[in-house]
Amino acid sequence: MGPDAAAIDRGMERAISSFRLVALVGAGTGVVVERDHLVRPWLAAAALAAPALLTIHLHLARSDDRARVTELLVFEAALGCALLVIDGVVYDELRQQSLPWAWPSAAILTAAVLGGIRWGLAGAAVASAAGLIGESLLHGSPQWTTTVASRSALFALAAVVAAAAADRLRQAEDEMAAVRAREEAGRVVHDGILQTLAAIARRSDDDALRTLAADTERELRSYLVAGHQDVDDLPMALRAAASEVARREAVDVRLAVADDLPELPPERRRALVGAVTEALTNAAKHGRANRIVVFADCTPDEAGVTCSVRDDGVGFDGTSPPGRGIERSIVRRMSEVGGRAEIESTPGRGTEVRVWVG
Amino acid sequence: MGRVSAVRVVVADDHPIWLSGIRVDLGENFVVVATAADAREAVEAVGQHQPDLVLADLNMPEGGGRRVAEECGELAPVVILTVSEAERDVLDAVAAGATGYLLKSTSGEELRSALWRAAKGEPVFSPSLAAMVLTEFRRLKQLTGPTGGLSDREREVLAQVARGLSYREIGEALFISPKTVENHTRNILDKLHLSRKDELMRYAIEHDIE
Repeated sequence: MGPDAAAIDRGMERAISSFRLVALVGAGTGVVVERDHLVRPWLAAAALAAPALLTIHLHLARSDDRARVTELLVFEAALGCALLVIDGVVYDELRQQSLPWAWPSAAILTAAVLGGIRWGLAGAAVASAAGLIGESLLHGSPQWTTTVASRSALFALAAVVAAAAADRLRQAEDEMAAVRAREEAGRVVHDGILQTLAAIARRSDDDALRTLAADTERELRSYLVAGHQDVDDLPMALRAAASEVARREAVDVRLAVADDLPELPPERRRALVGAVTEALTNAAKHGRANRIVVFADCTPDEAGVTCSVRDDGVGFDGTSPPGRGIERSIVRRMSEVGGRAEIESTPGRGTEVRVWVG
Repeated sequence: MGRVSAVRVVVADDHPIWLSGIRVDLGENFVVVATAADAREAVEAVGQHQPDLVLADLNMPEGGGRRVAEECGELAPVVILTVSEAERDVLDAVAAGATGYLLKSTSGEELRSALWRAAKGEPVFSPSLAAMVLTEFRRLKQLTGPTGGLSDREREVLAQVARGLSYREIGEALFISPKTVENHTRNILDKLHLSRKDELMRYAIEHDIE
């Protein structure tokens, strides 16, 4: 568990602790409000003293020791159950609110956060049983009243919700930690290894070694970018596409991306990235380019994106673009999302594909 | 190039392997008069040797290439070296006073020709720098209004550089000489440096920094 995962657990613990305090005040208020129905006032007062002490202790002395926390949880659950049972002997049948009020729920929440849905539901089951006993004592015979039923349902609900919330929080934290680890790795790789690889790629007289260093550099870069591929971010997606084609086709792809591109709806973004990928592949495969420049900028109204893919390859005469894919995969892809594409080429002077989308 | 006296260079990089490599790559038209392992050393070396050109790594201790650009940009052209284009820090260093940047993977011949031109005062513009500068001026325009911004022609030139056209190709497309294109890029860079200074000054005034 990382320091931030611990922080999340502490946060949940604090929230439950506050809930416990509020529940204690609620239980105390309940005794005062229902005082006319008390048949054993001293027992009620004595019974509430124990949870009051425990509530204050849990609020002030937080422990990171799991064994100690579990011990306190068991004690708290037992106390909650005891209160639910005692509820049946301190009041007459006309009381509206039970003696412990919502206080036993705190133990169920803690159990669900600590041990997941199973612990939570086990706690809820035990508390429900205690509630049933208390209610039976109150009425003098076993009774499955609405109070018992709704309280049991609430206990179970608390367990399920708390376990799910804790789960989601921890999962989010895990994802954040993975992103941070990748960024950290990225920094290390970037500042050290990539520098060395770049030096080897340029300095060595050995062609094979230079190629190896250049390839390794590209692979590392695409690894660093890969972590962001699922991010809905156009520059990142363009970068990933460029490094993928650069690696696959062994071509030099330079990116010039404005960093204030407007956000595009997903299907337009996908169409744009798809068209650019296609243009890059065409430039490398059919255009036999050495270098390709991808430029992405806002359209003049700053609401859309325009992209140009320009290569230094062989070009064509304008009537027969090599690779029949251009028409289908670039022009149609763009027109399907209300965009446009334009292809311009001069034999011997490369090709430029321009695409726009609003 | 042959007859003219060699360009005197200060090279700053915290990777020794790179420092020794660049000497070899620069060839006979350049003389490395000093090397530095961090920004502070680089600034000192520039003050001491008054070189024709400064090569500074973007990521170095003591403030990196940005500090070198800030403190030496007016004494000599500062070219930033970086391993990756996708860094906003590059733009910050250029805006702070550098004359451009080069990727460390730039091949020897391209590197020498770019640095030779940089030593003569020509900006070293790559497509990605052009895209970043376009963005920066859009940002500035929103902050301060149209004053001090780019002219339509300058924006046009920048967009062409970003698409990957050479100055010659841009000249052909816009029916102007490559020299005029170069002048445009120089003006653009000057405006960028000025805007950054303005911004710093405004910031200082707004925050009451003496």
